[in-house]
Amino acid sequence: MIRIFKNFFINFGNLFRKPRTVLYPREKIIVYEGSRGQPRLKLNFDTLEIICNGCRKCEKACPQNCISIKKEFKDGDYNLEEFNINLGLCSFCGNCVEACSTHAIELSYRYQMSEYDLEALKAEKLDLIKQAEYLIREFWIK
Amino acid sequence: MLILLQKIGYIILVLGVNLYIVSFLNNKIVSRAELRRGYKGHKRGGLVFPFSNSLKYIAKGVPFSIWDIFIFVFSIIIWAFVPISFNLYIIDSEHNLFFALVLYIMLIIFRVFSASYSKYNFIVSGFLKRTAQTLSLMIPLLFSVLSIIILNKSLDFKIIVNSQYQVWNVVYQPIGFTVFFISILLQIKLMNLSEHNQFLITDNINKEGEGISKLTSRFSNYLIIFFLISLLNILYLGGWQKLFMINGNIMIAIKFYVIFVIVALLERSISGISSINKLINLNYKLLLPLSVVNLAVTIVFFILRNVYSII
Repeated sequence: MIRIFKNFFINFGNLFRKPRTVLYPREKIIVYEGSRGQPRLKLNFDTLEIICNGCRKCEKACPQNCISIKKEFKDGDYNLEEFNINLGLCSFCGNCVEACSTHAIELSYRYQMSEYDLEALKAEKLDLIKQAEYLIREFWIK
Repeated sequence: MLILLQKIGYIILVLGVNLYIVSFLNNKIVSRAELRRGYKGHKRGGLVFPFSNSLKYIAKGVPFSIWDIFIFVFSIIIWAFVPISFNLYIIDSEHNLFFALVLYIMLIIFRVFSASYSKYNFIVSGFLKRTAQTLSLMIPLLFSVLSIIILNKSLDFKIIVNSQYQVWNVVYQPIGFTVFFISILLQIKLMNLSEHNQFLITDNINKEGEGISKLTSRFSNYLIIFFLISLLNILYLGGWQKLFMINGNIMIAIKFYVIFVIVALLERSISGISSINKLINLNYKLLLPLSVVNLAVTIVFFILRNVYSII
């Protein structure tokens, strides 16, 4: 009996609460802190160069094999030539972030990545750098 | 003749408007109780959605039985006896309450026939259980109504309402009111108002096929729910009696919608009663004894007042 009244008042209170349903194109969900979205390559703010040294640890750690890295030997040191991620395969597991010893990769909050063409989901080095605005949770508010 | 046609038109208009408002309100209440929006994010708040929803059923070609038509027609005919407001009725008889209850019991029996038309056995067996339960829930309801008849010494709705001009019957018959309310609440639950999938409703006839059959059964379900709430309103809550300066017609509408909202919310709240056995226990161990005690007390008071003139 008490449970019925309790349920009744919960239901009655719910009539005046804001509905949880989101009308997607018009409203967007503010994703939770720590949500995993598209990976991003970090820059060194002093030199404005990519931190990644192309050690390929992330490539090995990736369960989906969606990362491909190319290095070239130049001026007595290895430099990062290409860094590609196929986002169509990526499961946003975050293993690459954990595996990276130089902390060069991080996951942004970007979750809306639908495209008509699968090729458009293949992100290159420059694409992966240009993700700074997606580090804010409400990234659509600019 | 013209007045009669006018009255029929008014009754159909009132029922139609009520059907629209109640189906919209029910959807909103059920969804908002679950923190959903209800009727999605349609333009203009989904106001046209009840119409488009009913058109959806008409468009589907599913065969339906003659009993569905009977249920639909009888659920409308029942309003010839039940007054919507103080002059909106068709048949002016001294035994309106009796005829209305008989028609309601006939409606329940028609639902059995309608289920037996189904080719799926599991639907028939489950539906028969539910209908038998609805009929057994009628017993405490009839006892409560009997108490009201003894109290007001009439089977006429008008006399029952007019006798409540000072004090509503709910004051004299609180136990009867409680029994009546729980009984109609459980009957409405068995009619699957919220379309919530529970144990009671899984073997539902409505699952068989969507089409004009479902539309008529949904319409008649709503009309039966109106009937039950109107009965509660008229028998216990003063019907179209004025309250302070508020007009009787407005008063009956306010009471109707308040009861409907409470019933719709309570129907969702009693999800614990999810099996027929629990309903049977509740009916025969709580409602029936309470209604019998209420009837006995009423009879004792009746005898003391009218035979011995003590009270």
